[in-house]
Amino acid sequence: MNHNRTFHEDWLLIAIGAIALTTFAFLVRLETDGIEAKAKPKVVNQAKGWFPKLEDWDRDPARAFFAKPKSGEPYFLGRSIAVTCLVAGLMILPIAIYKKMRLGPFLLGYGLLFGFAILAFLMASQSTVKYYNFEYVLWALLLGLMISNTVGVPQWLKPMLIGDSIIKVALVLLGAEVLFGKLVALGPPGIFTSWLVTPIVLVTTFWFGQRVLKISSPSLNMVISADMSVCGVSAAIATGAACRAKKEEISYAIGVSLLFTAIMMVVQPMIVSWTGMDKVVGAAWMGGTIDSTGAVAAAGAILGDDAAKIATTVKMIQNVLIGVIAFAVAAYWSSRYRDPNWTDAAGLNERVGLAEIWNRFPKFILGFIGASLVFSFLPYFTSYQGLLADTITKEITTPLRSWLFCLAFVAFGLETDFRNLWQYLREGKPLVLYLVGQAWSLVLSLLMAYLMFGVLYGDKIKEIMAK
Amino acid sequence: MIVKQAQRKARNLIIATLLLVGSWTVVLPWVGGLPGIREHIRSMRQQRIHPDAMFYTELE
Repeated sequence: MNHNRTFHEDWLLIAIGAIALTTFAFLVRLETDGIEAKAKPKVVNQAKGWFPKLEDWDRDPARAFFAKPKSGEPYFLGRSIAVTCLVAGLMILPIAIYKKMRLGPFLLGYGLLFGFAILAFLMASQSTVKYYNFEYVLWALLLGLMISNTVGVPQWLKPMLIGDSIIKVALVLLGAEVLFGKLVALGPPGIFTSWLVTPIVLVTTFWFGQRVLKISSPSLNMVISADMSVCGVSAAIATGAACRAKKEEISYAIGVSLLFTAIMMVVQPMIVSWTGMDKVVGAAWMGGTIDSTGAVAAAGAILGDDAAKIATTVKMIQNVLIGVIAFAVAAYWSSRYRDPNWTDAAGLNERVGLAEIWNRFPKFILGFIGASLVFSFLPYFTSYQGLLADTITKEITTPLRSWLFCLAFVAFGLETDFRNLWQYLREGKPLVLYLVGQAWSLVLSLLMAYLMFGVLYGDKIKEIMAK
Repeated sequence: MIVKQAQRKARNLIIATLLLVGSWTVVLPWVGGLPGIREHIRSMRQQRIHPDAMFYTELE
């Protein structure tokens, strides 16, 4: 990959994300009743339902395409899917123009990628798959792999394999969901459990991978360490892009993480119950250790409503850490490695000036952090705390960036040779890294959860939950 | 030789597709019907919990 090209492209990707976020912000407004000016304002979202999430299904896949609202009749999602196809296409079009792609191959290639994305979401919404946390990225990747490793990718489709660029635009949108205000949701116990233990586990696991296991690829080591210690798939994607990890490395880390998350979300609540552990402590422990956010909610719910709330809040606080981690990883990598693919061992110990670090720095991270800061402080500029930011992210950008992630992973799969993935599976060291890191995380998180939620703030937390 | 190779690739794709369709229309629905798993799915649905949420904003 050409370094200068990446430099320029990242600014374009930030601009696409920023324009999208600004446009969506104008589509949402708060309306207050003139008579009851002090009443909670009503949110009017003109983009509501534009970007659909397929419904879960047991035996009949067609059910996935009919939304089941809390009240009212089910309705067909065809129009929303068409709108998503159009909006995502408009966001990807400038990248295609930048890469000098012709319109015909772009439309054909994009149509095919989008078709695979629908199929990946359809596979992910099958109830057994969905309720055991096997997320759509896995199936998007699988579909791509299936084509590239059987009949191969046709020549006309190759220019459309721009997963790297699509994922960076999606990450700028994800930035808007990283709200620093969420940090204080549980006070000191939440911050200590999520923001102290997580970086310690991340750094020590990475060190272990480099020094003890001597994993050949530092970026693979970092992606596994981050997805295991922070928040699973989203952390793997964000840190993977920050340290320019190979597609196979991100894919491998995600696969391992999803597999063990499915096991942990069932086993950890059992351990809490069998050992008679305080459910509050157990919930905080699960929130700090289970990789995926949804799996944390599921595991917490097995222990009860209060446990579910504590587990998901601890995880939410950990989610916010993703912005800081991605920035730190990008800065660290830029100062340590000369080669854009981070394989240049000679660059490890050289002294690097600030100008060179800036030159190497993946600029899209600035878009990611910028979106996070703007949306974190947006409530202070609007008439009602957080309502606007929550509506824009939950109802618009979250589903849209899921579609963008899905498109990117289809492209990743289409670019991946299964033999490269197999190499990591056969090597065994990356799996050992994940297991050792996870074991370390389980021990350290349990100690901190016990100290914070059991000894120091236990009564206060129970008081809050009782209210 | 080239024709044979193309045929083998197409055959592999068909096999992979059939495996996928079979897994999602037969195997997974059967697994989902096993008592323990059926109960887990029912409980998650009832509580409107989405274990496939990647980020906290995807939770209800």
